Amino acid sequence: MLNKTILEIMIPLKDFQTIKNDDYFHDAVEALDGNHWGGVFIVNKDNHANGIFTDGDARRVLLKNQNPLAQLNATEITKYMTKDPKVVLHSEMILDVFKMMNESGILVVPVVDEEKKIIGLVHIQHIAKEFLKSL
Amino acid sequence: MKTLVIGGKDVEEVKIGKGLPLVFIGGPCVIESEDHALFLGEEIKKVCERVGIAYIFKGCYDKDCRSSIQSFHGLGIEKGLGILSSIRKKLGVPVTTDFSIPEWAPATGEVADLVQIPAFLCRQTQMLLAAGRTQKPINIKKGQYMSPWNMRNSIKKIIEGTGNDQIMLSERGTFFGYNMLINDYRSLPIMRQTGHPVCYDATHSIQLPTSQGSISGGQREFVPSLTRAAAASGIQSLFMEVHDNPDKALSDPATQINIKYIETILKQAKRIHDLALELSEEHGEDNVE
Repeated sequence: MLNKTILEIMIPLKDFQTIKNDDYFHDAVEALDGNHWGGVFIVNKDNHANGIFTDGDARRVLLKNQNPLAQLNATEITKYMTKDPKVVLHSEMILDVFKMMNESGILVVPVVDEEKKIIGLVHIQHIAKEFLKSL
Repeated sequence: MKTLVIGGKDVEEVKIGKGLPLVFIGGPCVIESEDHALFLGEEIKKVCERVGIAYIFKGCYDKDCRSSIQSFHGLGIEKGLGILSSIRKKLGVPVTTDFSIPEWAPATGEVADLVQIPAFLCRQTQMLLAAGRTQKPINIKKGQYMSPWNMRNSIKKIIEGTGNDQIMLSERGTFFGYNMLINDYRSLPIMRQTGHPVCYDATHSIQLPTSQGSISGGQREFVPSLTRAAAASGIQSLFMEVHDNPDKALSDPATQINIKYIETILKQAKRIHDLALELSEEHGEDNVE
């Protein structure tokens, strides 16, 4: 089971939302709400992952925010995203990706093609399911 | 921050942007006649030369936001643009004017070096697109009802719709209840965060909209102190409507400032602006979180 590539278990791009560099905090929260995996990737016009914004990031922004909510909602998400997230190539093996995620302490990672365009994502839960199947 | 390049070729080229000298945009609220507009333009130009500040002549050809249909609203697009063109040639300075319906934009862009969007219309998509298509630099007045952070949407409409990114935003007061404007100076740094230059419109900021029944009032006495505060906060250009006899002006008599006062105001604004640039050079950008 664990000799699969990430491509075989990832969620394809068509099944989740991304947002653009110049989108706002409110757009990010809407995408978070629709994605159900706790994050949203911020992509440039070439569909490269410029950043990631997670449920936890939203929580931290809200705790710290002193501006009117309408102002926060209209703030560009690039101000709050984590820039240049780690990415994995679609041909990488599940076990290698799992090790990388474990060492980096990340729960989700975008899957890219050879041109570094996002084609999907993999969450630690998807890998855990594969482990369970292999028992 | 974007640098706006205004004029050039047959008139003086004026640049508005980060770290650059303060620019003055001024003239009558509405063009009353060619002779009067030219007289004001010549006199203001002389003041600007004495103060050492770049000048853009401003005058409207048709004000569509007057409180009463009986009020004088201008000489009309054809005559008004003809006068602006003549002033441009005679004074050798760039000119700016606004337009109130999208159909007026192409002709306005043919003459004006800087195209202005009136505050009440600052989020109207067709107005913004029409301004963008002129391919001239644009000054969007922040609506009295708009938050400074939402002005980013107006900028995006122009850039995404037309590719024109030569855009400046103007602070001209915010409604504080009915018939009253105040400046929220937080709007200056917030609008600068868009990456576009910011202009402070001193004479509209002291307006009391339609406070006198069918015309607007104003408290001109506050223009100097508000201007000093804006210059200290960090602006790239300053706007004032100027008249030789404001009380007899055909439009906005209560807010236009008498030309006899502008040299003192401009001198102070320029010195404060220069000091603000110096301090920014010495201490860097504000970085308090």
